Amino acid sequence: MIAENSLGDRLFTIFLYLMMALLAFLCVAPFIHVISLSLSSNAAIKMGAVGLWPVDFHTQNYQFVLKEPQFMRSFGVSVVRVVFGVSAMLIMTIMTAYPLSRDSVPMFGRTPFKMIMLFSGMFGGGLIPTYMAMRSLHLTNNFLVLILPGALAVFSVILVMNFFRGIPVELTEAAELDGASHWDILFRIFLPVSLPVLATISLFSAVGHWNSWFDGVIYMDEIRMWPLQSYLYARVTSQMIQKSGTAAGGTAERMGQSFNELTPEGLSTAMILVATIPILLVYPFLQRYFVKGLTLGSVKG
Amino acid sequence: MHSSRLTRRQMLRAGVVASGATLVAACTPNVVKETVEVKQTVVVKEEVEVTSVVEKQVTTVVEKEVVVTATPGPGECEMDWTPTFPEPFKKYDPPVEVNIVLGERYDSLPENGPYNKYNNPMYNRILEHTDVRYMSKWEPAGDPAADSQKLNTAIASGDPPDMWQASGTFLQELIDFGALAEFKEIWEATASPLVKEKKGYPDHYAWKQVLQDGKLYGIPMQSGPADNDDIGFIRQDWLDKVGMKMPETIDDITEVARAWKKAGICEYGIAASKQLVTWMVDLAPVLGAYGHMPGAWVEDGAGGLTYDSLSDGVKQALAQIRSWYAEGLMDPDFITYDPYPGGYQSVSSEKCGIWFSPFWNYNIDLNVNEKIPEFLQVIMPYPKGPEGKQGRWATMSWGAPVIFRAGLDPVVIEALINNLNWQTEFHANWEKYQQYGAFDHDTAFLEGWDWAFDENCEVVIGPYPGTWHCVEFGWNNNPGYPSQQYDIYAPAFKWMNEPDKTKLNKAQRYLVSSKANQRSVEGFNYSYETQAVQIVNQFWGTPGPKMTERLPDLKTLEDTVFLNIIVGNDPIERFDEFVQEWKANGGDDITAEVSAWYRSINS
Repeated sequence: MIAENSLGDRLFTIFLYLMMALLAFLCVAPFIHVISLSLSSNAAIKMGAVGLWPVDFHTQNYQFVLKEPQFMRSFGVSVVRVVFGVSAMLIMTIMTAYPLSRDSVPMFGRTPFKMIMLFSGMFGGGLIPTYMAMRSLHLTNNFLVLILPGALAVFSVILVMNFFRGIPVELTEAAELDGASHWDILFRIFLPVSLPVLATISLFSAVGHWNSWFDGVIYMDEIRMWPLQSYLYARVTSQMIQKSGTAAGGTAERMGQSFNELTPEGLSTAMILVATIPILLVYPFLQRYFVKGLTLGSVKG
Repeated sequence: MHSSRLTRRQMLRAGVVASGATLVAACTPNVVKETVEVKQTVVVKEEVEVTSVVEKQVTTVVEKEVVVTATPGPGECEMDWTPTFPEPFKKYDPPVEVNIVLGERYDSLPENGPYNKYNNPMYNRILEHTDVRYMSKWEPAGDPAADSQKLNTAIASGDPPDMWQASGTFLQELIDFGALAEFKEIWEATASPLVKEKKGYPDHYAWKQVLQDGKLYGIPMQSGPADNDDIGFIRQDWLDKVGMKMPETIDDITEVARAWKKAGICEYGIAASKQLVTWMVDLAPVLGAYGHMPGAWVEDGAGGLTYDSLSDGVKQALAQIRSWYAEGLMDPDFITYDPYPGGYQSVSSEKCGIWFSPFWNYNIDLNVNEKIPEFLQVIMPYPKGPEGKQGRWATMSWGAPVIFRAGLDPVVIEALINNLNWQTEFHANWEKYQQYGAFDHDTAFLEGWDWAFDENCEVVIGPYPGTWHCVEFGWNNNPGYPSQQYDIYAPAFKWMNEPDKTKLNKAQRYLVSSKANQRSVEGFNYSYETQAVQIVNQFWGTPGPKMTERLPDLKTLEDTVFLNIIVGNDPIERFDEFVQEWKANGGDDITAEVSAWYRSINS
């Protein structure tokens, strides 16, 4: 190994560190700005005086957000959605991937089934047919519409299927010799060794469910049933409109009382932050499996 | 060895601590609020598919935080006015139900409160007096793109609301596809003489989009000529600092901005946003001072129309704006600013002290007086150009018509028109009916909500002002006729000019005592009185094939060329090339198309 202790090397290292620090700062600066806005006063925000540090520090935005019934209700919808959505996705994905991955076991229609899945993964039906399908299945205005359509993610099935295929065949053969059923093989052998890929698809799914806003807006007629991101989307993108005399008349003046010290910008940023924290907390649990699972599943099989 | 790495556990712990701290911070008691009185009004106009021009008037009233120390007991104070209502135009038993996209987010109100979405003072008022029960088909996201997607999906899947709004190409498509109810006969038999008069039926140009081949497909929701046009504003405190008088000409504006800059009062002087003509903080009146207005189609003197962006006056105006830019009298970042917040903040952050915005923007100082007490905003007359001309962009007043789905029960349509009759009567005569909530976009004006009695039995702002807005005519909370704002503000203007305020009742005194309300009325009055300077876009038809195909590219060309001229990337002579390019790239065809349309409507 070449020693890197010359002045040039050290300067270069310092330069690299500085560059990386700068890049890192550029990445987090917008986030810091959002934090500052959420903690700044109405007048300061109106004047555009808030940069990376709060001006006239106050926490009313957070008080308002945490007391806003709809925000908390939507928060709850999202949490439930993530829990049930990820669970449903895991069950469906594992159940589908297992038989498809056991090439050594004869299965009628395995290839056509795979083709159909692949096709549906590549081509969607379009919004209006999908909407009509959901409506005829009585899934509109139904919490299940947030979970069922995404329960079988083709991409995840392929990932898990390939991961299962990478499990040494000797393991399954040994188990079969000992009289293990498919359930035994799946639960006692496949799943324990597949934690990386399961963590990976869980993270995909959890983040996907948490960030999904469009299905809430399209399928749910009442805001009280919206998941958090639909609600946030409406609040943030329409931060001026929500006070409008036409689109949502009345909210303006209702907000008027709350807005004594609050601005739409301040409120939106507070909501964004409160909504970001839970999903941030999921990452550390699953991060270490993430890269491993993704690459393992994709290169083997 | 001590490790400096952050473990997962530590990170989680830090996360929990941070979340806890946030919660604790969020639960700290309210800071005692200072007495502020702010009215902030923003109008958003966006080109969207559903409603080609959506005008959204945004009003936040941040009034006085009232500390009532010795509140009189119940019954000790008496109202000295008696609110009444117009008589119902027709009774329906049972009430008709109408599915609409109901925008009110009543569910955000305190849970377990006395009222909800389908039971509240405004909802009940409409139900009781017009027998229309509005039901929520769905609640809008408030974002035009998402809402139009949802609406399109519902229409395409055969499940539209009973009534909604649409204009432009979208409206025409709906008519062509037979998706809308035709109701001319019902309208003519049911609409009151007042509604027909106020909405200018059938001669006002807004009706042309829904009256086709003798059939009627919608009811236009118009706005007034003074509602959204720009007026000029200036910082009086800065004028005083440099001892200058109110600017009257473009040259005066230059002198004032120069003096401010020289005295170090502000960085630039003249505020703008990235479009020369837009809904607020733009430069339309500067262009108007040269007698022309980019984007407008004006008469060519030969019975046709010509595109005003090509006129020599626009070139002169661009040269003037260019010189401001070169001299540093304009915020150089204006090319990146949306009207709000960028354009707005170039004023509120004291970079600039001269700007053009609609009357409801007569309040930037009130919004920031807490931090900048000396900030005093006053109206500046329309600047005169070299030939003494003045001009402003005339905002079109046709809104997006209310339409009904094909197959809707005629009785429901009749009931809705009677709802509009009632609403129009209510608005046009709110003084007679003593309904003071009409002043502020129609609130319920309820004691204990909008207002309360103070220790002197005077009316002061209540704990929940403006909570109850109405579901009046569809989701459009007003009857939408051109003189509506005038009808609302005229009585208030009279009360404000009443020297002996004891002649007013308590509610009237309350309304006129608010600085924000005074500003609104004063600003509107100025905008109304100066309508003569409007430069009116004479084209209001459905865009023809040439215009649909070519105009978007030509508009992009125009915007790019104008901006490059202003910031000095191109010489002013580029304007002449632009005119030739515009004509050669389909502009002449569009002009011919538009002129043919104009001749046809005038023949």
